Amino acid sequence: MASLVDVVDEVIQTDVLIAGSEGAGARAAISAHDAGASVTVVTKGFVGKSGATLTADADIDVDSQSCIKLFNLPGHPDDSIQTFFEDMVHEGDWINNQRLAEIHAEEAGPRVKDLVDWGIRIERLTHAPGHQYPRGIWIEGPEFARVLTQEIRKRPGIRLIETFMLTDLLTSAGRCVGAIGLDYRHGKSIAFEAPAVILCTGGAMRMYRYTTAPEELTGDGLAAAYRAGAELMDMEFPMFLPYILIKPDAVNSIDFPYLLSAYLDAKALNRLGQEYMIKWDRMRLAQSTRDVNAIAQMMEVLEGRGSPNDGTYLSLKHIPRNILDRSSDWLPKMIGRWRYGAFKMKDFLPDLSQDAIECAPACHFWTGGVKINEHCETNVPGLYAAGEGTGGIHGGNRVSGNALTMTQVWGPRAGEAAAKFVKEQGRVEVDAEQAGALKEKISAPLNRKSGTSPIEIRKETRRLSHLYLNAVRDGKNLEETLQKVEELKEQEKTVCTKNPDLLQYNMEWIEALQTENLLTIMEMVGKASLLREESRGAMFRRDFNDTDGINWLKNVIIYGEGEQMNLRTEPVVTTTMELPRKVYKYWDAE
Amino acid sequence: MAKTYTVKLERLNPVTEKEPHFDEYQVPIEEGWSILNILAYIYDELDPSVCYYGSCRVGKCVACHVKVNGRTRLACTEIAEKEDMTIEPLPSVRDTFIRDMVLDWSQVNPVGKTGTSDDEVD
Repeated sequence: MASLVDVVDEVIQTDVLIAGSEGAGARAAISAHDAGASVTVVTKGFVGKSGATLTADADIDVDSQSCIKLFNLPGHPDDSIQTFFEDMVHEGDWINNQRLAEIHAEEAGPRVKDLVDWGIRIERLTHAPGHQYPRGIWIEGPEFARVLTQEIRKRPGIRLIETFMLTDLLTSAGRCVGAIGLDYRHGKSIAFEAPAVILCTGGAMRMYRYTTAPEELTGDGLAAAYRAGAELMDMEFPMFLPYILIKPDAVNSIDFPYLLSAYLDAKALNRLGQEYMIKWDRMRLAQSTRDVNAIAQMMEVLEGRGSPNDGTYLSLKHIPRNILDRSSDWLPKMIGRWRYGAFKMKDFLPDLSQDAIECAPACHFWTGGVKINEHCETNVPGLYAAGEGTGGIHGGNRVSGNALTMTQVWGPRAGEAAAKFVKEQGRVEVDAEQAGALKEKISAPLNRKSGTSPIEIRKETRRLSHLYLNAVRDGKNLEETLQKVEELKEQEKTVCTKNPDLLQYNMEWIEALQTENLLTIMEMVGKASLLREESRGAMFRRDFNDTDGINWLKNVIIYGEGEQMNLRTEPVVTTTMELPRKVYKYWDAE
Repeated sequence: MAKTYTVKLERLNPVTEKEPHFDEYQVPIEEGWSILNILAYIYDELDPSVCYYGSCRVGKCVACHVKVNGRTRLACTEIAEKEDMTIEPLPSVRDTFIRDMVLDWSQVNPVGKTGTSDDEVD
C-alpha cells in the first residue's frame, strides 16, 4: 500500500492547520500558537496583501459603553452588550443563533482591545444604520493587515505558506485529519497531516458578476467543508450593496455611488427615467436601506427596465453644480475630494451635472456558511471554522461593522478550541489512498487533452448569479438556474487548461480548481432559496413577499449524502429574545 | 471591429527559461480601462498562460505593481492610455521573482508600506 509521501509532492505535519491568513485566520493562528500548538497557515494570496479584511476600510463594532470604557471613544453610556446583541438579532431578521450572537456582543470589546494592545491605530467612532448607538470603531483595512501580519511574524512557530489553494479536507472515520491542496507558485501538491483544521477562507462572493470582494473569495473552504461532511446553514442570505459602479471597467464594483447616495440626494432611475424607489419607500427613496435599494434595482432589471449592464442608474443632475462641487468640502474622508482610495473618481465618472451613473447591486458579504457551535466546532470532529463563511451569528442579514468584529471574536475562539482538541485527542493517521485520489483531482485539469475552459464557465456562473441569485429571487428562475448549474457541473467534469505543462503560477489551473466550488455554492444558494418560501433578511422572493414568522423562524441546513445535496430545517436557537411569530409584509419589517 | 493597440508583455518563467522575452498582444483598450483590465483581458481572451497578481483591485493590496513604459505603476488604479505600450514586472532579485508580472510580494513592498498612497511611486 502506498504511503502519503508517495502520492503527493510534499507532506507537512502540524497540530493545527489554518486556511486563511487575514482577519479570522491570523487571530486563530495567534491563539492556537499561544495555546501551545504547532501552527501552519496556508493562504491563497500573500499575507497582508489578500483577503477581505484588507479591503474593509471599515467600522468594527463594539457596544458603545465598552467604546467609552476600553477605548475612551465618545460612545453613548446608555448602550450595553445586551442592546448590541438585540440590534444584531433585529437586523438578522430573527433567525440568528442567539447563543452565538450573545457571545459575539460580549467578546467584541476585549478582542478589539487586543488589537489596540498590539498597536492598531483607531481613527474615530461612527454610528452606522441598524445600530441604536455609535459602535463603529473605524480602523482602515491596511492598518488591520499591518498589525495582524506583524503579530504573525513575531511568532516564528507559525509556519506560513502563501499562494496555496486548499482543495479538499482529509477525513478518516468521520474525523477531519488534515487537508490537501496546491502550492500554485511551484505547482506542487501538499498534504497536511493535521489533527485540527480551521477554515477562515471567507465567502463565495466571486460567483457574482459584481462584487466588492477580492479575487480569492470563491467559496473554497465552504465547498471543501461540504464535501468532507460538514453541515452549512443560511446559504440563502448573501448580502448585497446597491449602486455599485459598473463602468468604466477600472472602477467596476466600487461602491462610490452607494456612498454618495448616503450623503447626497441621489435619484435612482430605471432606463425609462422613472424614479422607481417611489414604489418601495416613498419617503426616503434612494436613501432607503441598502437591502430595499438592492431589491428595487433587481426588480427593475428582472422586469426589463434595467440598464445595458443589468443595473439601473443613479442621478445627481437635479443638484445645482455649485452645491455638487462644494459637497466635496464636507463629504467624509473616504469619498471626500471625489477620491476613493487611490482613484480620482472624476477621471471615471460621467459629468454628474449632465449624466447619470450606471450601477448595480454587488455581492458584499456572505452571511451564512459552515454551521458551528460556540467553540467553532463543526459537526465533523477536528474541523473548525471562523469568520465570514460561518453561519448563525448574523442570521439573515448583518449590521454594518460586524464583519470585522466577527473575525476578531471567532478567530481566537477557534484557535483555542483547536489547540485544546489536539492536546486531548492526538493524531490520527491519514488515509494515503484518499489523499492520492484527491491529488489526482488536482492534476486532472492539466491532464485532460480537451474540455471546457474554466474562464468560459466563470463568465456564465457570474451572469446567472447576478440575474437570478441576487437580492430578488423567484421559484421559476431558481429552478431554471439550478437546471443550468447541473449542466455546468457536467461541463466542469471536463474542465481543462490550455497549458498542461505550465506548473508555475498557472492562473487557469487555479480557476479550474475553483469551478467545482463555485458551482457547489450556486447550488446551495439556489436550493436554500427555493426551499424558503418567504422573504427575509437579505433575500426577497418576488413570489413570496411576506416575512412568515409562523412557518419560517427556521434555519435551512445543507448537508451532503454521496453525490446528493440535501436540505432540512431547524428551529432558531433562542436565549433571551422572543421571536415575532406572525406574518407581515417584508418591507414592514422595520 | 474595435481598434486594437499593441501591448508588449515581458514574459519569464524562471524555472524553465533563462532569459525573458516579449510577447505582443492586440488589445481593444476601452475608455476607462486600468492596466489591470488589460492584463485581465489578455488572460481571459488571448493567452491564459499569462500571469499577474490582483487581489483587492482598489489600490490597497499594492501587489499589482508593474512597469508601464518604464514607469512604476499600480496596475489597478492606473488608467490605461489608448496607445501601444510595454508592461514589465518590477525589477527584482531572482528569488523574489515568481513568473511574468508576479513577484513574491511577501518579500517585496514597492511603496514601503501597505496603503492607499496617492503619491507617485517612482
